[in-house]
Amino acid sequence: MAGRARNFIAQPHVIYKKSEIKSATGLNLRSAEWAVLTQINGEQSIQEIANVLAMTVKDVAHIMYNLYTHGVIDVSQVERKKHNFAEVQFFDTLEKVLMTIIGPVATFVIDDMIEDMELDKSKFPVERIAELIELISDEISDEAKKIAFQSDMLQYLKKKLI
Amino acid sequence: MALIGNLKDIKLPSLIQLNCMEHNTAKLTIERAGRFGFVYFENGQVSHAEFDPYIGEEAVYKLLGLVDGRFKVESDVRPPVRTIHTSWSNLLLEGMHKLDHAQDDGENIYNKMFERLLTIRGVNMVWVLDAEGQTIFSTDQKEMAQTLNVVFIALQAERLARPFSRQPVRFISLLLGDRRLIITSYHHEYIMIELDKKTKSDTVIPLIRRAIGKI
Amino acid sequence: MVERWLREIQNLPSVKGTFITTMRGAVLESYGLEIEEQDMQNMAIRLLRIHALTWEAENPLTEIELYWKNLFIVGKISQNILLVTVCDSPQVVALLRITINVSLSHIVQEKKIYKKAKSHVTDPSHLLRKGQLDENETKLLAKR
Repeated sequence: MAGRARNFIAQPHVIYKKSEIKSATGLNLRSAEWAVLTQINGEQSIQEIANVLAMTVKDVAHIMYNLYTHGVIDVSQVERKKHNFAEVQFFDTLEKVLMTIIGPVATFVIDDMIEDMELDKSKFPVERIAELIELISDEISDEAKKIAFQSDMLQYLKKKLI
Repeated sequence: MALIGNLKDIKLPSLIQLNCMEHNTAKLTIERAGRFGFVYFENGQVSHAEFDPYIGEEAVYKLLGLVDGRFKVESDVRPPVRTIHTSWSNLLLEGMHKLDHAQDDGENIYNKMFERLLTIRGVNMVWVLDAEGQTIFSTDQKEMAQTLNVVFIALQAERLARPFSRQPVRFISLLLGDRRLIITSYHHEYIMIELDKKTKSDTVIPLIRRAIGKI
Repeated sequence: MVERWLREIQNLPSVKGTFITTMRGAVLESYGLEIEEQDMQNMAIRLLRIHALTWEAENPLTEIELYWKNLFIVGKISQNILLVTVCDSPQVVALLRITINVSLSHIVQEKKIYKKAKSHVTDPSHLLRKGQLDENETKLLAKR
């Protein structure tokens, strides 16, 4: 089951629809499963449902898998959303700049923040890199260093986001 | 080993259902704003409950109205006395029925709103203020009093936009040191929300709008 | 030089324009906004009144964001300067905040800005005195 659930997790931007054959009436679902089921409308991805319900992508994907095994959602009707993901170069730049500000712990700070955002470095949406930079800079207590970090990253941000 | 958590994450009906369906004998302790409640399970039935000044079924019904609070479940703790004889499923049904038809409709509506808002990641506390800016409900009884002149702030916000818009302001986000507050009008009242310092207003406002709009 | 930093902000998507004032609301410079200086001053004074309310608290206001249906206004206070940014809508808000932070940090170091800002440092509560407010505002303050 862990392997199949991983397939769901690996695709946080995939969208599912309710099955046209079987409904959830009569099923003994937990409240979290009902909450997820009510969000499945053929428009929201796993990531978006997780954001709305303030749950982790992992938990929502696990519930999706359970709903799938009940036959209530139909995987064959999946639509895939296109996303632009951040380049490797961005994380290299980010790490290099942050390291000059806070030293070798930079790598851990970046990884922790990405995990906190419940995102994957290999599939990090471009539209959220400014948010990542802002959250990381909030961790820098020295105001001058915080501005220096933001200033250095700003040039990169403007190229990618405007 | 005790099971611990918060009612924000696992609701009391689920906790009751879990302990009863597993035929547990256990003591569930709930703490909210310095008040303690206890629910005792014996061989999968709810046998006793306390939530000062209530005892027995009434204590369970009052506890079911809580939308947040820390809890702890300790296994193999027997009740001191048996005060509840209703089956757990009927107890829950009756409790949920009472909640739906709460005498004070205002309080019930706000409880539902608080529940939705508190499930949003980053929301720490919620106040409802009347048109004069006085607190009428709060998610934490200890923090009922708040000193910000919300009505004056809302008025300044509306007036400052006059060169551009005559529409009422939808959300005001204030950063006061480490404390971030969101203020929004709601019918003839105001809702004020305290966010975790890491939470940014633009990411959470769409979720707040949805949570409030659902009422 | 100040114009350069205001332009950095104004170049972002949906930003109409931006201006800076002292803590008394005197407009120092603006970029991109097609409104009268008096209107900018009035906007600033209202934001500074909100700041004045929180002044005596342990943590006074440093940032304020205001959301309307088709308008988004950000105010940031740093080293006795208020920077106000007016947008059509909240787009790329994280990028906007970062740009505001960086721009303001450079602006407050400009000599002429620093001098003017310093000369206008005042007790913020003067903006809440009786003569400064209308009847309705005075009543609201008196109630608390």
